[in-house]
Amino acid sequence: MLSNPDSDNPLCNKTPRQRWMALLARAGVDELERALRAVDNIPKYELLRRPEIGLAMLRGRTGGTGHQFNLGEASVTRCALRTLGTHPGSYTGVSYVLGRDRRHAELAALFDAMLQDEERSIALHHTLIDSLAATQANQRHDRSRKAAATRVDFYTMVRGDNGA
Amino acid sequence: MTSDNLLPGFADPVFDSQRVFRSLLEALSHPGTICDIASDNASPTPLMPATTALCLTLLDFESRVWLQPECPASNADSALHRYLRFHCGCPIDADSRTAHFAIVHDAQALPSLNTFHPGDTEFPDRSTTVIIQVNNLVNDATAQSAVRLRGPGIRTTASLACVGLPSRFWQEWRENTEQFPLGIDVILVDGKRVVGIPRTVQLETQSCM
Repeated sequence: MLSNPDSDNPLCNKTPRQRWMALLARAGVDELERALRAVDNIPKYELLRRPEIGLAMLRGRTGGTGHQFNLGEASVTRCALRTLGTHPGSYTGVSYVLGRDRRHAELAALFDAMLQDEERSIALHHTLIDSLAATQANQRHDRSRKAAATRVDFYTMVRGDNGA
Repeated sequence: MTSDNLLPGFADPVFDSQRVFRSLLEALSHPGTICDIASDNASPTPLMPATTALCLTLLDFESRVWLQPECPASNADSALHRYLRFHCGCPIDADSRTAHFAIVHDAQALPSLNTFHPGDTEFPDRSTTVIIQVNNLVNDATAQSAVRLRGPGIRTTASLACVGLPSRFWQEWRENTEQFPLGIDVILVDGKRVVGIPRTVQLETQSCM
């Protein structure tokens, strides 16, 4: 178990909202469904942008100079909604989720909206966000360990026989 | 938060935009005929419902849009700007000569028609399409500001009157038709109704204003 689960992840190292949006996007739908059932008084909401599936071009850098190249396209589902309430009680939630799961995008946007509500935020951090952070840090740690076990180091022997 | 008070777009983006596009096609193929655009969308001020529906249907990230500069709505943080950015993703163009679409919500402040792009000789289709919001659109030859239109898509002539267009509009329209195949196309909007006035439309007589 890492001491600070997100310290090595650049995506989770920004504002609190960016952190929870990233966690919600990586969470499983069943985790979110379970968390939603535990929420009492789920706010009514209207969809500003219905969950829609699109493509995002993934770009990478390679070579010594860091040339950009297109790695490939990935399906992305996005959603935006607004919870209904009097002005301070109305929040806009946004989500971008890898894959084609519309329900996942909708749930992530709904939780994003609820997490901006200060009255709900602390409770939701206890019941959902903290456990998502721990689970995802563990998964990440496991994957890194498995990958590290297969690491191959390449050495270049310095021969020192050409030149002074 | 920049997306506070954002209004929702089409309830069903695919079918709603296809329906609106079909209505617009009808309007442009029968110039002068008033066509309904059934749309129950909430509209950001100062747009009319049909203007909003046309924006959601026609605009995307490749279409540059010109908005009237002298209104508070053209502030980059206004509800209209944020609505267009969020739902259409269209770049807002400060120069009416390079814009693909122009939205004129206040017809009285309509700039001269020759400030819009008439297209190039090689590509006349790259002209600006100007959407103008007016009031009281009627097909009534006896109305005070009525004009008679003729051209492709009109069996004999079509009478059209509306409130809000500056009186110089039809004079400038005559000049617009003279540069055919170049020229701008106009869509008049009144609430949920639209009238298409493509560049092929000729003025039958001088309006009696």
